[in-house]
Amino acid sequence: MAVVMTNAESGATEPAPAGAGLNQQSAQATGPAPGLDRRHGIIRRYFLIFATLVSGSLAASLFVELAFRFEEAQQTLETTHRQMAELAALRIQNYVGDIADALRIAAPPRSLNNGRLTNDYLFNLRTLLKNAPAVRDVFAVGLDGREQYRESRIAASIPDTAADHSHEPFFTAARAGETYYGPVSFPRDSLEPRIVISVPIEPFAGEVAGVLAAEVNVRYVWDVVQNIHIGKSGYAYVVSNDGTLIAHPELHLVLQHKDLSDLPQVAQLRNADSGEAGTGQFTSLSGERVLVAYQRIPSIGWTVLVEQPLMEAYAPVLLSLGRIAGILLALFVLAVVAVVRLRRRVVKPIEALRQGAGRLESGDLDARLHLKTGDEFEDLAEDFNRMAARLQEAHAGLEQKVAERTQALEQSLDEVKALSDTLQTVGASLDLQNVLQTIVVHATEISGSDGGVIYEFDEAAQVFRFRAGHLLRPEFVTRLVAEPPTLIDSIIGRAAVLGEPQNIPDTAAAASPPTNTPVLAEGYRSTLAIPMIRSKRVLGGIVLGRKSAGGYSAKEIELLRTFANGCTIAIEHARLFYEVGQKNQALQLANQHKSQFLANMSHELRTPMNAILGFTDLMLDGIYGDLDPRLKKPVDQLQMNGQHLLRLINDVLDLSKIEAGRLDLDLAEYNVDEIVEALQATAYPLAQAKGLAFRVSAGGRIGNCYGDSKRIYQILLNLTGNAIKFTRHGGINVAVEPSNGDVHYMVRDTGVGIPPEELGSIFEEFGRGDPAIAKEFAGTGLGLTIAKRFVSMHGGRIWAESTFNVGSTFHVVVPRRVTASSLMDATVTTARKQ
Amino acid sequence: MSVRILHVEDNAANRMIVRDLLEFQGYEVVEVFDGEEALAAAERERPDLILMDIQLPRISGLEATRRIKARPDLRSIPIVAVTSFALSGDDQKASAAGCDAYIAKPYRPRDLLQIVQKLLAAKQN
Repeated sequence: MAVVMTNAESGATEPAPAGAGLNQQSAQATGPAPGLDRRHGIIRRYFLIFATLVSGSLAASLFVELAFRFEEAQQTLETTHRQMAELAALRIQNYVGDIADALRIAAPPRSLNNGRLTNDYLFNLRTLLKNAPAVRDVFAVGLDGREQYRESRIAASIPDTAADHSHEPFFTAARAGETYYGPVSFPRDSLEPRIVISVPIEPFAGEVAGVLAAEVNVRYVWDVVQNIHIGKSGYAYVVSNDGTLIAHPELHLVLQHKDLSDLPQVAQLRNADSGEAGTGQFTSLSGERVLVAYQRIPSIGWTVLVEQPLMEAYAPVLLSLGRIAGILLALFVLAVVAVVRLRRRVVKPIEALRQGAGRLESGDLDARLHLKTGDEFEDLAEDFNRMAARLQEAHAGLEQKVAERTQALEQSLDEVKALSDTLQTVGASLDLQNVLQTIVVHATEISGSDGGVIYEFDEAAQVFRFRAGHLLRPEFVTRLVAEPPTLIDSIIGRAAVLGEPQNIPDTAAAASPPTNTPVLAEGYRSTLAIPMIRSKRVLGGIVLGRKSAGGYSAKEIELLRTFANGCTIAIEHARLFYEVGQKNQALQLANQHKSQFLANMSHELRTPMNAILGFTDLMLDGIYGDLDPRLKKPVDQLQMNGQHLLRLINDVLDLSKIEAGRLDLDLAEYNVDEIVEALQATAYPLAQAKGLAFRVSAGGRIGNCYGDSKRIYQILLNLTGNAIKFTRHGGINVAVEPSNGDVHYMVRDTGVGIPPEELGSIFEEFGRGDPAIAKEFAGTGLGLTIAKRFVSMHGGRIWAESTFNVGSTFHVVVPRRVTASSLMDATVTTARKQ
Repeated sequence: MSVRILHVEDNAANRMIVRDLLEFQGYEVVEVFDGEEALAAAERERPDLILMDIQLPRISGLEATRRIKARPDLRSIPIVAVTSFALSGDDQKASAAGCDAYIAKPYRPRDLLQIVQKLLAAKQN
């Protein structure tokens, strides 16, 4: 695997980049570039994860395995040891038991003589000696405890008849009918341990005739112990009840009659709870830690102990532990090697690629990679090299293009700026002259012309009028104004007629039209005329000139067309605006006249009304004597209709005053209670006269208010008056309550109601709804309109809710304190309505 | 001596109403038709009260009032402005000119009578 970075052009032609390349190469050779370490994060992380996984799983399995194995091994060991001990114990017991059995077999006398054993009995004893080689002496004891017969393997068999055994344990136990095993003794005449075994002599079952005892050499136990080998250095030994060593592979210990009762494993046997058999860890006689298994031989009270040094016992376990640890280590090393190889195969090429990309990024387009990995990385490196080569090519062409585009862009920018300025002027200024001047200046300058003119077409005279110019001599302007171009004899005329821009590259070369002469005289060689046409109407045109021949490019013509469009729009706007202004003025005047007329009319009507009502009143008041009863009704009608007419006049006057803007609110501090009281004073008698209930309720404290209390009173009086008027039975309820800084008035009645389809138009002039109802309930039809205007003037709201034939509720909400802003809003709203 | 009231009014019908009303009440009514005559009549007749229409030929009722009120010997005569201008501010104008009361046309004869009676009573006190 070869990972080398070289400079593609590291030849002698370009020493500087080659040097740079070499430097990088050497830097790479000595070690990773600075800043690479932090990039190693991913590999390091993967390595760590990998290593943790491998070693973690290995360690886990190891520990589990070890724990189980250790447990198992321990159990196996203990079992083995115990079995050993058990086996030895069994053998010893059998051996001793066999002798006891032999004794029992030999015990019954062949004949009894007066309750005493006959000499024949000796035969029994001799047979026994023959059959049981371990028996050294055998002797029979009579019931009196006196020895009667004795047969010895080594000495002459002279019964020690004098010996009284009656108090010895072997006699008393056997006399009682039990087999007796005596304690170990080491007689002076022999090195070998000896025990006494005695059985009862029972000629008949249950009838003890004497005791047969034998001194038994238990040297056989030595053989048993000698034959037990556990592992390399495991051994067994036997101790008696009192801890005396009976058998041990090291014979000299036995011969020393070693008392082992202080040895912990022997000492613990004295504990009642140590049981028949068991295992444990103790220190051996030689001071080694040993695994001990023991088994008691209950009949003779001995214990077989099997010991093996711990180190030796657990050697196989330790060995398997070592093996597993070795495997782990091997696997770990393998993992490390794998990661290192992976790093070499993957990371190094990636590093090389990254470095190459870094060089490209920093502008070193000569960077090339030489990866000979023979895998995808090599392909990638080749792709990289191709890409770098393309970049290099592209880069070379780019600079030139950038220069070109920059120039184009600057020009476009100028154009856009000029256009934007123009459009801004067109949009912002209604001064046509200003707009046209701006356009001609921009159009002339952006096209690099030496002069420009904007004409407006005079339809009446059929000539182009000079409107604005730029870079023109005053004399030339004077001439253009004095001799306006026509449709026929000029270049702009031709452009307008054809509806296309006219581009004359060389005015001198063009023979016609004749207007070219003055243009030429001014020194203009190239001329461009752009017509301004809107809806097939010629509005004017732009003419530009250059003092050099060559004409205008298609792109320039396109741009200038845009300027011409701007002019067209501006001219049209200006015309429209002028017309709208004219119409608006006329409308305003007409409206003013109407209002003035209405005001005058209503005023003029008052004088005759005064006379009509005045005389009627005087007649009804009896000023002219008692009224003829026949006249009473017509005069009443006269008065009623006169008053209706007067209300109508008053309402019309109010409305015309509002519309003429001549009615102002009379703003002052006021108190809602006063308004309500006044309302009650006026409306209560009216309601009572119709037999209607009238109730006023105020909810919550409403502080001092600011507004036109007279108008508010007028609104409420109107609504209440209507309520009374349109209610045949039931009652009227006027409620006032504060509501978020506003005062909310409600006038509720149980009257005829308003059909839903008319609810929307009741606030309009003469929008009185159903004519049939209107006829019954006389009114001017202007009350609600005026009320609404007054509410609006306060910056408030008025609306109605109604259920036909059930009743209506009129709501009025006015600000508690009228402010300049609420009045302003009101003005705007009112103005929009008109 | 009966109470004398000067009525300045150019409309015949209205003059008639006031005359009928006031004479019925036992007042003496003197009538003139314009502002200029009003001043002369006030000097000549020394009325107890003047009912002054505001819209009058030649000089307006307000101007006539100002002139009368400018005269120390006539200043104490109460003047009731009677106008058919119902535009707001008329009452202030009348009061600024020196009128003691204001009533707008069309008025109810009994309302006018009430104002007249009230002013006369105040004057006597």
